[in-house]
Parts: sequence; structure tokens; C-alpha cells
Amino acid sequence: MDSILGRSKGAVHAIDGVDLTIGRGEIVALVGESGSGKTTVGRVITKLVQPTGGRLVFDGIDMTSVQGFSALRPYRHRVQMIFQDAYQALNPRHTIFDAVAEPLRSLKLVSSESQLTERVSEALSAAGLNPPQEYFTRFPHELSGGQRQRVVVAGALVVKPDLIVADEPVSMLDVSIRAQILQALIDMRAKQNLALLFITHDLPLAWLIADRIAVMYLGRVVEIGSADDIIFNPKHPYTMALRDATPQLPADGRPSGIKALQGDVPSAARVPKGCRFHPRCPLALDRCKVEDPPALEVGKEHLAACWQAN
Amino acid sequence: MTEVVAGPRRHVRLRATKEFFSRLFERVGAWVGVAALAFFLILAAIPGPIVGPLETAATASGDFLTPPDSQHILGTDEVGRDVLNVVVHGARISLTIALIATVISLIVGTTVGITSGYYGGRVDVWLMRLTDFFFIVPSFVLALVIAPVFVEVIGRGREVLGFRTSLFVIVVVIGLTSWAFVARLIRSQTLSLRERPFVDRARVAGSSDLSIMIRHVLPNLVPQIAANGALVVAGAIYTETALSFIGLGDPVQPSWGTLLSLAQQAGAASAGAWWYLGAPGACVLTVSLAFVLLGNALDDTFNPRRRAIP
Repeated sequence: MDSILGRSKGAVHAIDGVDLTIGRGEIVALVGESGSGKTTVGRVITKLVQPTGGRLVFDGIDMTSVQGFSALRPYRHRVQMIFQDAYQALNPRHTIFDAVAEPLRSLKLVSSESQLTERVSEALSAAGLNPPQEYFTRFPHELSGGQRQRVVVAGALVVKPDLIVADEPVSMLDVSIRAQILQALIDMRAKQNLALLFITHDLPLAWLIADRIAVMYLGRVVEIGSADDIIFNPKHPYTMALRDATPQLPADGRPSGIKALQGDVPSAARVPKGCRFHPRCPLALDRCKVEDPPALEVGKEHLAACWQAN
Repeated sequence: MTEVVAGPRRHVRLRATKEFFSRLFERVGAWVGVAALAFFLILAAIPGPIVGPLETAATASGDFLTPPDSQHILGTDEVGRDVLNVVVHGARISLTIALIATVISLIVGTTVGITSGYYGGRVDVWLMRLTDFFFIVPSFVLALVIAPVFVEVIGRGREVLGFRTSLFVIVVVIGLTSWAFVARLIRSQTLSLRERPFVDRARVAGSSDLSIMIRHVLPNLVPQIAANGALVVAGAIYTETALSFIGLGDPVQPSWGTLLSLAQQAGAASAGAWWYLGAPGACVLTVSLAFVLLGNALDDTFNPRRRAIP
């Protein structure tokens, strides 16, 4: 009744207990179903939402409580984001030049118009839009979906950041264009030692591009490890089920024996007691219903939040 | 390089503007509205060359209340002034008051609406309560209350921005009472715009709140502002006429409302002097209708899927 009257007071923890480290020049993939909170992790890292708890440390500096656009400028210079929906992420009334130049202008990274033009051209080329001058005066509605996504990528690359949070950057694109965008990102990593948090629901893609994979379920990272470990040697039953449900992955001859998952992800407003995965877990024990498993070390740099991971 | 970039960019905008106008003038309403407005704007701009200087009781040449004839196309009033002469001069006063009041109303309404919608929360609540207050303030009562105070403070015969004091009161009153409608409309649009990913992108690019409001939200509000601005002018002309009719106008700078008021006092209706009441009345109707037609045409052109509410 309270919620009908708009008086609902229960707080929803979209993410809870996410422990994630990204090294310099590393590509970490964050994998999970819709509603698992992976986008929220990205929004916390890019300071678009303020977390109620926890810490965000970047290059040794605690960024958790830093707020306001001017205080965040140095951070924005080093951390950028690529948005999922390129149709919505560009202002329909700004030209491509203005869209890409925006971070340079608002972060005051260039001192002259010619330098601005040079940086914008460089970013557009790096994102695969050649020749860049052709695009300067175009508006987003004059471009194809793939071209728009490249503009979004260029807008993130233009400040030469250290970390880019890419929220499903290729999920809305054709397969042929996907490869080009991914290649642009991988090239930038090689060139600028760029770190990437790659948010996706696509497990094969994560395996392909990432050094490490973190699997999220209902707001928590349930397993994290090197890409090969997660795909070929998963320890958490949720990861196993995800893996087995993805036929495109190369078979390693050892099906995990997990049946397809039943039911839906529970609402984040009513997270199950104990292990949050136990209602859907085919291996659940009595212990899982009462005690929430911590992240247990199951291998070299491989953690899984499951009582039976060993 | 800058010139090379700026040139084509201006060209792109020009092309878009041309396209817009060609679509606008596919509508009959736009033609009728613009033609009527152009006619009255010419009258308002150069009344002298068309009908000579404004006649007063001292310079009046005709007989009292004569019906239209070859010498006085629209007859004469109760002191022998040519009705055509005073109506043409009235156009200048009526249109100027309406347009300035509309500009005030659009500036205040847009500022309040964007601020309220963008910041939300407490700012929104307080600004909207303020808006509610101005929504329900009747313009007549407000005018009656502030007119004497204003005249007392400024002095009766003085001019503010080229208006005699009492006319300035009308401008202020119309401006104050009509912005609430604009603010509500702009707020609702801003609420939807601020959730768009390009606003998040601008934030990650390091733009300040002010720059997001001006560079990202405002340009996307132009259709609403233009279409409703035209409707606000129509309302302002009515209000100006009504306020002048009840005696708040200035007899030295007569507007159409003042003329209607004078006609009524002179007993034009009972004396059968239809030309004296009819001429300013027809002008008010035509101009209001022209603005409504233009506003609806603009609205349809900007957003063909939504029918305008006149």
C-alpha cells in the first residue's frame, strides 16, 4: 500500500559488494544479465551517480566524495565513457565537430582553434572516420549507426584518457562494424596504454577482447578471473550456466553439467537471504540459504563467491 | 583552418533553415498568419507616412461620429478624429506592448522551467509553487493593485523605455502573469531531455550544469519556445486590450484597447457608430488569430505527430 501512495522507503541496492581493480592498460570485461547492475558500476566509476557506500580509488586518489564539475575536471580528463546508444548519446542539434570537441572545450585542454581542429581530426581518424574533415559539419541524423558510434568513441578518445568505461559499445551494431570499433579500441590500448572496462552481456565477446572477466549477478561480482579461467574453468555455478548457455564458445570437452537456469533474476529490492544466487542454483546446499559466501580464492587471481567453488 | 570549418558549418545551418521554412509555408495557416502580421507590423513601424501624425482632439479635422465616407474611410470618433488614423497608430502601441510582454514572459518562463526541470528535487518544488502562485494571480487584479503604486513611484507623465508609465505597468503585468504557462511547458520538456544520454555524455565531458542547460537543453527546446511564444503573443494582445478597456491604458498613447474603451464611453454602441467599435475590434481579432495560426503552424512543422492545442 505504501508504494502505491508513493511512500515506499526501502532502499534498492543496485550494486552491493563489487570489488573490482583495473590495472593500467588492462581490459576488464564486466559480464552479467540485464539488471545485474553492470551499467551502474560504470556510472559510479564515471561519477554519474554518487554511491551510498564503498570507495572509488583512481591512481591512488580517493574519488568517492569528489563532486561538482570543476573538482572533477582532472578526473574527467583521465576517465571517459562510451555510451551504448549512439542514437541518443549525441545531441541532435550539435555538429559532429562540436560533439567531439566538447570535452576539449569544457576541460580547457586546448589553447587555440587550430589545436582544437587538429585534436578532433586525430580522434575521428583514430575512431575510423576518414577523412575527418568530411564529418565536421554533419549532424548526427546524417550518419549511420556505426558512424555515430565511432563519433561517440572519438569523443571519448579525444582527451587521451587513461581509462574508458565502455557500456555495451557494440551491442547495437552490425557484426561487420563491431569488429572495426573493437579494433579501434584495441589499437588505442596498444598506443596509449589505455585501460578499458568493457561492459557487456556477450560472453564470447568478453572472452575475445578482455584480459580478465568479472561476472556480475544481482549487483555483486560473483566470479572474477582471467578470461581463459572464466571460460574454461569456471568455479561459480552461475558462470558455468552462462557459459553452457553460450554455444559459440569453443568447447573444452568438459561440460560443467549445470542445467539451464530456471526462473528470473529476483528483484534488486528483495535480494534473497544467504547466497543471492541460491534460489536458482542447481547446486544449492542448506548453508547457501543462510550464509552469504565471501569471494574465495579458487586459483591464481581467480575469485568466486560460492561455498562449493573448491 | 577555422574559416574553412566555420564556412560550411554556417552553410549547413542555412540549408536546414531553408528547409524548415519551405515546410512551414506548405501550411495555409502559416501564410495567412505571416501575411496578416506583416501587414500590421508595417502599420506599426511607419504609421506617420501612411496616415499622418496621430490626431488629437485639438488637431481633429472631421465632424463628430460621422460614418465612413470618402474622406474618412473608417469614419470619425466623438471628438472628430479620423478612426483610421488612431487605429493605425494604435497598432504600434498594441503590438509593442504584446511583443515586449511576450519576450519578458518567454525569458522568465524558460529560465524558471529549465532550472526547475534540470535540477529537480527541492529547487523544482519551490519554483513550481512559485509558478502555481503566478498561475492563479488574475492579471486584472494584479494590474489594478500595482498600477497606482507604480505610477506613484515613477511619476505619471514620465516615460520608461519609451512607454508612458501606465503602459509600462501593462507590459509588466502581462509579462508577470503569462510566464507561468511557459515555465510549466518548458519544465516538462526539460524533464525528458535531462534523462537523455547526451546529457550524461556532456557531464562526462566535463561540462558544467549551466553549460549543459544552455548548450544541450535549450537548443532542443526551441520548437516549444517558438510555437508557444506565438500563442503567448495572442494572449498578451487580448490581455492588453482588456486591461486598456477597463481604463488602465494611456489616452495620450492609445492602443486598440484604449480606443475600444473610449468608444464605449462615448456611447458608440448605442449611437450605432459601428465603425468606431468595429475597427479596433477587428484589428485585435485579426492579429490574435494570425499569431495563433502561426503558432499552430510552427508547432505542426516542428512536430507533425502532435496536434496543437490552440
